[in-house]
Amino acid sequence: MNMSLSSLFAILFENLRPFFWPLAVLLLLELAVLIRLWMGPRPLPLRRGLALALPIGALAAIAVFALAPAITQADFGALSGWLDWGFLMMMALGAGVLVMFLAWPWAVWWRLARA
Amino acid sequence: MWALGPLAGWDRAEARLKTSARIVIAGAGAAGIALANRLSRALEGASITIVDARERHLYQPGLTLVANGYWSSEKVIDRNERFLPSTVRWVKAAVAEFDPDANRIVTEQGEAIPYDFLCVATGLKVDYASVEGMEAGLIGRNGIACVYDNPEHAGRSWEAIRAFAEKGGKAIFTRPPGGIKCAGAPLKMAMLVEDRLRREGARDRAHFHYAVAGKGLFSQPEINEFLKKHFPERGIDIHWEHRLVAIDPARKIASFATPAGRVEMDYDLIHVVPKMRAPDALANSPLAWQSGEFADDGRWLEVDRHTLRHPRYPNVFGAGDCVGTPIGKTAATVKAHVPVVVKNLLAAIADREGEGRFNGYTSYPLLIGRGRAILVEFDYELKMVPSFSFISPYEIHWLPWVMKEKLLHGAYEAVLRGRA
Repeated sequence: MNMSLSSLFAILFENLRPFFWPLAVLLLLELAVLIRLWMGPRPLPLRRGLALALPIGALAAIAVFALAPAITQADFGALSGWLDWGFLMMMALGAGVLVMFLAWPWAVWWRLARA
Repeated sequence: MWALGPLAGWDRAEARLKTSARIVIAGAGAAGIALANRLSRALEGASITIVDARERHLYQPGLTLVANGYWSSEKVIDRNERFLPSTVRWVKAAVAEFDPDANRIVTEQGEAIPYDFLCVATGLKVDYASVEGMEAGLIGRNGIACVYDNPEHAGRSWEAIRAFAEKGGKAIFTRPPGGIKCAGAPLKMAMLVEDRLRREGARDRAHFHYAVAGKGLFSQPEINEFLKKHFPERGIDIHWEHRLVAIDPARKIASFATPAGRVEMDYDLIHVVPKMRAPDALANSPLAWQSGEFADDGRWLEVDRHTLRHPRYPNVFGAGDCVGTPIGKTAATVKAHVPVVVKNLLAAIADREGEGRFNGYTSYPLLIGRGRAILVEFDYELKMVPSFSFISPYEIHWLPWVMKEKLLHGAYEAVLRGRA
């Protein structure tokens, strides 16, 4: 059945609604770190921060890949064909990239603190 | 593939229609609440009243997961109050009478509520009395399960299923004639219980039987053919034209009406699916079908199958399980019904011809076992109408299970809020 983009956003919003407060706290913390970095000394060690954020993102991707079937009350035996494996890999990749971007400012901050 | 339409839905793209019309919505289930939300956003100055005594809102698509131990009952219980817009008046009473000739409904407390337009969304009644010896209080006792109606029944069914999984024996799953809520649920129950026993290494201790009142397992022909092969492959014996007519809980005997006469079968677990029909107030009103298959079946609400408008009372519309149309008493159908009713109701208020057309869309994530499902979507013509071109409706996958287990509850709430 046809579905508009606004419907898709509404469905995404309703699925995230139960996690509203944890997500809000996470985003506020993220924002606080970004502001702290923006107001801090230059140059920022962005590359060294990324070197730390990348493995964190990779770990998140591996965790999602390993745990997603169990979180959905299934197991790897339930996955069948490119559709399921592709979906799982896309989900893991998406989670990994998201975590990497979230971790990057923290990693930069950590590098700065240790410099 | 989902057609990605404009960013704004039609309801936000169009200006609000000014009217002083009195609109009454009978029923605060999924269809009633979705109608209330969409109408309150689309209309300015209208008086919208929703009439229902129920304070709880039940996410009924989750009941099969509750009845098989995958979800707790709490996960499917919410409050209607949380979804109803503040501009809508909520009369907390059951509808006792529909009086379309006088353009009013009467509540059980005797309050008469007049209307200019009526939306009937009462849902349906599970008619336990259609099976002699059956009553709702028996669910969970003496090996009796029934996934329908509420999470308490589903939770008690899970207790009966768990006890059966420990001991094994003979399990019978039944399917009555006529229209029922989520026609895939009896099939899902049989397959999920069979899958559980297989996983627990207890499959060889159990015999599975599926007793169906008609000559098919599913209305969509290709899925019907698939299931006719799939059930025997899993050792589920199909008994055609076996209509459950009586149950003796003390002796654990079920009686079936068949073309060869009455047949008795003993059981250790039975999933009873009683006949379903329109609630009494609707069934006994002039709004119900007066003749034909939908009158004989469950005295469902008479509507034009495409416009969802009553042919004899043009200021009456219907949505959800109570309407007498050929297929689809599912939440997915509600999602498709509601925009059509709103579109045609707005046109009626503006004294225009409504352009909303319902194509019969219905959808079932047919759960084959833990973690595996088929996403089945079809229309009045029984043609597959997949929302996602990359998900085959003929293949068993994990992805439709993920949708059922994790995503559809959010989609359902978006429908309730009139946003999807």
